[in-house]
Amino acid sequence: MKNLDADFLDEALQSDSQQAVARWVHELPEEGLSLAWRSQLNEKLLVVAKPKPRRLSHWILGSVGAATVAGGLAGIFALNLVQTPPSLVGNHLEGSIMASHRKAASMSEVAGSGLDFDEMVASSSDSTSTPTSHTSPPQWKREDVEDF
Amino acid sequence: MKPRPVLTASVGLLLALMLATPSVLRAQAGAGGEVQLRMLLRGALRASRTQSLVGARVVEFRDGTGPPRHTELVTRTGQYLRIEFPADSPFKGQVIVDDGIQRRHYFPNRNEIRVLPSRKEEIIRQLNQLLGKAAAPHRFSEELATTVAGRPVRVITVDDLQGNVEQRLFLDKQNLFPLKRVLYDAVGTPIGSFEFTQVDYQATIDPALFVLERKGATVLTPRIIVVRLANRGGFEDWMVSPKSELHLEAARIENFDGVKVLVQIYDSPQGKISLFQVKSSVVPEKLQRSARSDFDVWVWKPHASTLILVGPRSGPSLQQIADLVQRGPSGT
Repeated sequence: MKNLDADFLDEALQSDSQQAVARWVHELPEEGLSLAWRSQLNEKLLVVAKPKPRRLSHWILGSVGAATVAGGLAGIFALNLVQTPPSLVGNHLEGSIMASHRKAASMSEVAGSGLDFDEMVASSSDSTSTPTSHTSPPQWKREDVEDF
Repeated sequence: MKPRPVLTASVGLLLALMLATPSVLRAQAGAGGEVQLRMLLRGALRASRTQSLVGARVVEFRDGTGPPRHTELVTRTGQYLRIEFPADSPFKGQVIVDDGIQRRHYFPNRNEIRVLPSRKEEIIRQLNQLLGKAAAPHRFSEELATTVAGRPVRVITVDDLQGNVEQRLFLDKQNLFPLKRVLYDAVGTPIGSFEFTQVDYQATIDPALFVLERKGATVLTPRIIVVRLANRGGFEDWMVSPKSELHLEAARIENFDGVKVLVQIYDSPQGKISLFQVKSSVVPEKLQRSARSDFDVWVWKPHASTLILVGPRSGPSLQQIADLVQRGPSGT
């Protein structure tokens, strides 16, 4: 199969049209790049070239310094997080009260007749009712209906 | 020289594309357009009250509290409403039924039914306010139509007079029912939205869906909850009298900077009003500073606790409500 393909290609390359194309290519004038142009290109490349890579010692010192600063900042941030009591707005009661009202009002605007903020809280918070024993409501599935 | 047809067509196409861009074309309602858009909103108001449907809507609220978005399965006809939650929802098993008078909310994990006053769609109140004579001036404009839940909608934008967008309403083209609503904060960030993802206006709705009963379940009203919370947290059971036009919707104890606060939320024709109770004192000036133009504050100390009323009313109007604050669930 491979030999057949090679023979076919050799034959195609010997065709008149291929020979004509080869002749045209051969007759094209050769234009070598002038030295002056190469020199200009080099100068331009030097101007736009990236700065030289820094020495290895610079990299090590830089990385250690950056890591120290980042670690210090993270430490300060973590300490602040631990020491600051949770608050809604700033650290005063009055701001938290106003923020709480604003949140309830704007959330009810979005929720409309659906589940609002207080109902979400009620879903996750402890019951205000005395716990009583009760049977869990049945969890019917579609199959339960279909199987009947 | 004759104009080239290709060039003419290209310029035409370019102009059409520019005009079709929403930022370029936001149909500013002129005198006539304003009237037309107001009529459209009145139609939306009507549809909000009367349209029957079965559908699913996604509610999103960007606040960092609770799940940022949840899905509600909604069935409604006339004033009757039923809301359930999908099997993968954190609220799975809860059922809300609102018959226009009473809202009953079943919590399966504690076998509890909370009975609340019927909650009108906030959108209805807001549309009423927007269209009322005493409403703050707004600009209405219409944007390019799009689709919501597979249905073509008209998009109405409500701006303040400076052109800051306050909300966008996506009204079903056929019946003007609001299928989507997006609310924006002062700097144009969307803070919350609801959007129907499925809707069926032709579904057969069984009236039995609007009955919520479970024998053996604890039935609680918000006033009973306030008394229980007050007993548990060492507060006094101050409440706005049930004879007022305010309806108690919810109560909870919150912890603000290590200070326990009993919070009560009331519904009023003007919007939500909160009653806070703290055992310590507060600085009224600080509260006033934190309140912006949309709310006012009234502070008083009837006994051992300090009470604070916050709401979209003037100080004197809040003072009148304060006069109706009494102890006990029945205002005794």
